Amino acid sequence: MSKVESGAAEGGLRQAMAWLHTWGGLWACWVLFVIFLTGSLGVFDEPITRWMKPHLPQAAEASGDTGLDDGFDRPGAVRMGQAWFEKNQPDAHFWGVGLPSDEDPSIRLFWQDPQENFHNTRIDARTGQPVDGSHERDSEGGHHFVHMHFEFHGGTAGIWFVGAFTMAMLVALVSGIVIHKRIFKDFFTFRPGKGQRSWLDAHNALSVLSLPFQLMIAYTGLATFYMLYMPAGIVAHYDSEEAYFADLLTQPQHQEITGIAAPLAKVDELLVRAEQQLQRPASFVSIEHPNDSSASVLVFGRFIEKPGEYRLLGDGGGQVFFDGVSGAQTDIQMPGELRGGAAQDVQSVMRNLHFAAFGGHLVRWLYFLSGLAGAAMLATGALLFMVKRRQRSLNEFGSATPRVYRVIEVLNVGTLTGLSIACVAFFWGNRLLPLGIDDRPVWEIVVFFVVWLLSFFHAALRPASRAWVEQLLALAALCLLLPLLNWLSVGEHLLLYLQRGDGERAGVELVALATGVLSLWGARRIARPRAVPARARQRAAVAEAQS
Amino acid sequence: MSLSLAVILAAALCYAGMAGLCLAMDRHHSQVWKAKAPNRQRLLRVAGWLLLALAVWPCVQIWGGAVGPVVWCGMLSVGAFVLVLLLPYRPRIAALLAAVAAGAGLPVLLLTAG
Repeated sequence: MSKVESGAAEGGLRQAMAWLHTWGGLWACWVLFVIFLTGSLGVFDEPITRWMKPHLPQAAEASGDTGLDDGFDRPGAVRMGQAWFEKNQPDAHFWGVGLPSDEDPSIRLFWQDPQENFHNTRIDARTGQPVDGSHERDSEGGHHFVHMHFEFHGGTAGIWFVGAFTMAMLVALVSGIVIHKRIFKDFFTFRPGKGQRSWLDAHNALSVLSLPFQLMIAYTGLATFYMLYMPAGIVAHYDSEEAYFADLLTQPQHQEITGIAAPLAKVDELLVRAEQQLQRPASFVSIEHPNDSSASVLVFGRFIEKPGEYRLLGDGGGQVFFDGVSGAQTDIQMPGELRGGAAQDVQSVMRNLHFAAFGGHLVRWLYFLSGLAGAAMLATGALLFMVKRRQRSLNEFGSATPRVYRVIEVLNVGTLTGLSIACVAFFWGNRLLPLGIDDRPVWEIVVFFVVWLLSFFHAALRPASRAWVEQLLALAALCLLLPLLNWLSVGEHLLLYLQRGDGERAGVELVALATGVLSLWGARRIARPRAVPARARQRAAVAEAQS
Repeated sequence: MSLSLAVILAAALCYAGMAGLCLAMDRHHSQVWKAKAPNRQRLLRVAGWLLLALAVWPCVQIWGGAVGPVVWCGMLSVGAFVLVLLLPYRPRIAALLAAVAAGAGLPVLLLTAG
């Protein structure tokens, strides 16, 4: 038996797990905090997008209406889109037409050029002319937080990065359960105002009381990307991911491009046929290899939220496949139809559990609050590490210990408050960047990262206690002034939203205000010395003066 | 049962249930009452479990058999968090609030179930 193993055995399982929880948790906690905070905000990606794009109409309450006549001429939209493509992008390998709806009354066009790069534009559903977006607030919207959450804007590498840290999260959760000696005895215990003890109580309460959510969200997050994280089975048996899915879901196989010219079938007629069979409006039409003999057309039914009907499985809008030349129907999947067997169903349920869109507003709020509890659990864990060592160094790194502690402290400040500031700064960027500039959504993300980087510099240059207070005050100011900025920049404000019944946009500002008040309170708590010690000091000073 | 009523009812029952389990423990019992009272504590424990179990009902009524239990899990956490934040600062008010929540929640539950 090696020394390390015998050491762990002597100390017992609990001590070994304590070591794992402390150090395994420490290196992962900053990245996980980012994943949790942006994931919580990502729950409300649509309301955030709507706040950032004031030109979009207010969200309509789900009516569950599946009637085909909703006031939009979808066959006409398909004709307009097709005409635009024939004229401007005849050589593209893929055309996609996003159909107009209450959400967005314009026609959205997507295509993939022969070099396999994706592009998109919008045309007006009435005139067929390109939409002049220069006066609109082009924005990344809430998608920014969703993409930070699952890939850090880093593509496949980012998804792997997040997956590795999610595994670390599961390790920290299980080791945390093992080392928590009195889960049930301390279930309701929180003793505020007692320094290190209070931080440990808070860390325990946050973790234990939201434990079902934390275990579920970490596990289902991994299950969502099973094809990427556990690819061996698919790689061994299929040439491509598309081939795997076509086989699993018994859908038409992807056709290779032939290079033989063949006129495209009348897509507007295919749309009408598809809608009649799906018994609901379509949301999107995709045309693979237009004007090639391998052409295929796929019509997606609209996702329709039915009020009072909540489900974890079978909520799809349905889809119809056509041969793109002959117009023959090759497959139809009705709304709610399940394919791929029990394992696929289980995976779908897990995916839906992670995405929080299955139970209406209340479930979104529960996920938002539980996600924030997770972020707070990580934050209190990171703080606890330093609180324990601020009083008395444990000298884990020999002579380098003070420097390592300093780095940890800077990472704590820059991640916990710095990231929060960057998130609000993203909203400020949306309102302050000039309209009509190229790649405006990218500039919003640049603002986010630059502000975040600056917060690390600030944390590194200031003493820790000052850095905390200053960053909390900055966060409070940005949050509390956000409604004012909105009023000054686009002329809308909270009262207007409430009056109109626009709960989504009002919610964004109310959450900002609440965050601002909490940060102010936090800054005050840190800046003002504790009441009891202050009185004690005073007494000591008086006693000294009298003697 | 309307959505908002179900949310309030589930939250009230979860909070009251958690408070029952909590105040049944010696440590927290002494935050509200001076002396130990084994009978009262046993009663609180039973009532706590019962209230938590009853909170499933409004969730399943609105969200159905699949999503309802998920919502219930979330409401359990919410109820416990509110209690844990309130208890150290205002233990008596926390206990009183639980009594009101159970006292108002149970009749409403019976009325809507019947």
